Amino acid sequence: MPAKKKEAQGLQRIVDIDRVVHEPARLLILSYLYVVESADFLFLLRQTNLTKGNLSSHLIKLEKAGYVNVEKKFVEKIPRTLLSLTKEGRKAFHDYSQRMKRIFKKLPG
Amino acid sequence: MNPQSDLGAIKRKTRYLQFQDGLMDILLGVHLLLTYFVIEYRLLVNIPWIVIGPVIIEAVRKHTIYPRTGYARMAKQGTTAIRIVLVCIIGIVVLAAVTALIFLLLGLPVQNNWHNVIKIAAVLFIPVIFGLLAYEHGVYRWLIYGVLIGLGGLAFMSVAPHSIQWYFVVLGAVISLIGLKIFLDFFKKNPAKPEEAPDAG
Repeated sequence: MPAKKKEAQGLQRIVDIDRVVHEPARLLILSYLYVVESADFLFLLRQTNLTKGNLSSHLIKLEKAGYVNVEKKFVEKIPRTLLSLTKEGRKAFHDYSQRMKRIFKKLPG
Repeated sequence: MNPQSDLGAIKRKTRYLQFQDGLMDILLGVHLLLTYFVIEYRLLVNIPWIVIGPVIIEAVRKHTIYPRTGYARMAKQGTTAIRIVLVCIIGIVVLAAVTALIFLLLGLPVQNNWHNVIKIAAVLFIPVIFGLLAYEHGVYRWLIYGVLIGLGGLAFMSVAPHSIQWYFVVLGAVISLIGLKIFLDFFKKNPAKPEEAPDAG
């Protein structure tokens, strides 16, 4: 394969990065949800140190992308929002990490 | 934002949260305290505690811990009960072989002493299990507990075999107090903030 074509492919990998996952706050949220089966809103709030509004807006974006499942229910009359990664979300996070690994693997030094 | 973004660190940190309130220490401490009744009166009171204890702890967490820290259910790792039992059996067999070798090197009889060899191997396995737990959860005091229960118990047994129950009583009391101290410190570090509703998603 010619060197130019190879280079173009490498650059295309960077351009094709999933921007929903790439945003640092969302990446952190997805990282937590990746290691747990499910977590509630307060858990993510405490662990990520994001503000309530910020966390909410990122969760809405992730839900719209189909990456996070939001389940609202009442536990002993107290509202609780349970969050978990969807299959697509898990795959998107995995693909993102693999793509990033490939990009940085070729980096000199 | 929390700069800790390494997945392994996040995993360990999330697992560590299960031990941050000291309730698991209290569970273990009470279990050791109940060992007194098992050895002294042959009453298996610690068996119901293994079932009831975690239920009580979960109820306490539900009302006191989760409203402060939030709740997360850890992902299943595909560790089946059969795998755990197999690892335990293999571990004890390996340790039994090592113990038998030590017996032979010390000139002690092994052939008619297998029950003692197995017993010692099982006791030696306790620190290994606690060590694995400590590493997986990043809660290294549990390795010390394992060493104190396994090796400490074995050493005490060789010095004062008829008073071993008191060793477990003291150890159980100490571990329970450590758990209680962690539990109380947890409330100081994590005061309930009414302005932070547990739910806003």
